[in-house]
Amino acid sequence: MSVWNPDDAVLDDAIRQLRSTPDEQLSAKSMAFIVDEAMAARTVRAPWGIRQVVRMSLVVGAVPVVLGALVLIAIGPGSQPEGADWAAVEKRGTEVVFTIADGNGPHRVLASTDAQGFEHARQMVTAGKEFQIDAAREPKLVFYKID
Amino acid sequence: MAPPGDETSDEALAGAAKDGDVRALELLILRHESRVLRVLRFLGVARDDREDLAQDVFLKVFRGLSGFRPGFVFEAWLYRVTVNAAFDHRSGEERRTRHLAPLDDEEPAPDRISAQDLTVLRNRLEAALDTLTDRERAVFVLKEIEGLDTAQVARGLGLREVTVRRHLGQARERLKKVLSG
Repeated sequence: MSVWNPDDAVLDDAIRQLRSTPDEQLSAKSMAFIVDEAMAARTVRAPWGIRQVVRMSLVVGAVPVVLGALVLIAIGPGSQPEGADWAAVEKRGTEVVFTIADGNGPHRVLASTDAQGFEHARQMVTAGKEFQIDAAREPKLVFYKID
Repeated sequence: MAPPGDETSDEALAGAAKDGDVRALELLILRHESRVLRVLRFLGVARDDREDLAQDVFLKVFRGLSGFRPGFVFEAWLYRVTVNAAFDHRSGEERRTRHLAPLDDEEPAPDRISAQDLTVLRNRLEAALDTLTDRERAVFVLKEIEGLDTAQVARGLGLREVTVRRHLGQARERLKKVLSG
């Protein structure tokens, strides 16, 4: 039988704080290094397109998306962010749909309300040409960065 | 939203990577990079060294894929490699000693802790991890911070469950003493 003591509460509070420490991520350079080294060691064989995927992660564009408006297409003629040739975004009902031209491989999507502040951004991993985000649960202005 | 890639198990991705699917390999990295970096941090690897060490961890894991047999648990292998890498790294350095800040006499009772105090508390706990033995620290980080269950920790560290429980108890007692001043 365990006996509760106030020190347990302090320790548990501290543990909760440690658990909430913001996540860190590898840089695109490190990702590319790992993949290249794994290939060089012949642990995996590179199919077509892998070099494109790695390069893509190095030319990331921040995609501003205004949620809560009627319809949005943030990527269009005249306002194309870097990388717009391989990504598109539109609103379908309450969902924002991202389409990635080369969507067969995994992509990391960072979401932030600050275009310059992706260090602590929410992160999700996608694989597939399309992925959706529920607009009703997002702030009104969100910047997405797709690696 | 459930990212499509999340539907595939680590083991299936590892198997695909072993068979030559580089995209599966990338997905494994994306899925676990934050976890590896976090474990390295709480096992005492300095910020400047974490990214390099994480690269080493993933390369070692991927190079070991060819030796995996059906039934292996990818995550357990990843944790084991990460923990060993952290301790190997630290054993090559002079173990850092941190002086813990003394408790402020005016520190409020736990039920009145402010956000600022919680940050202080977090920093003190992170520093206090240095007072644990390597094994206690690994068990504490995987169980209490990563949220693994006892069986997962045991598998990841190659220990018996009873040993995990013993080290966890010792770690908690030691940390409570440090935090209570």
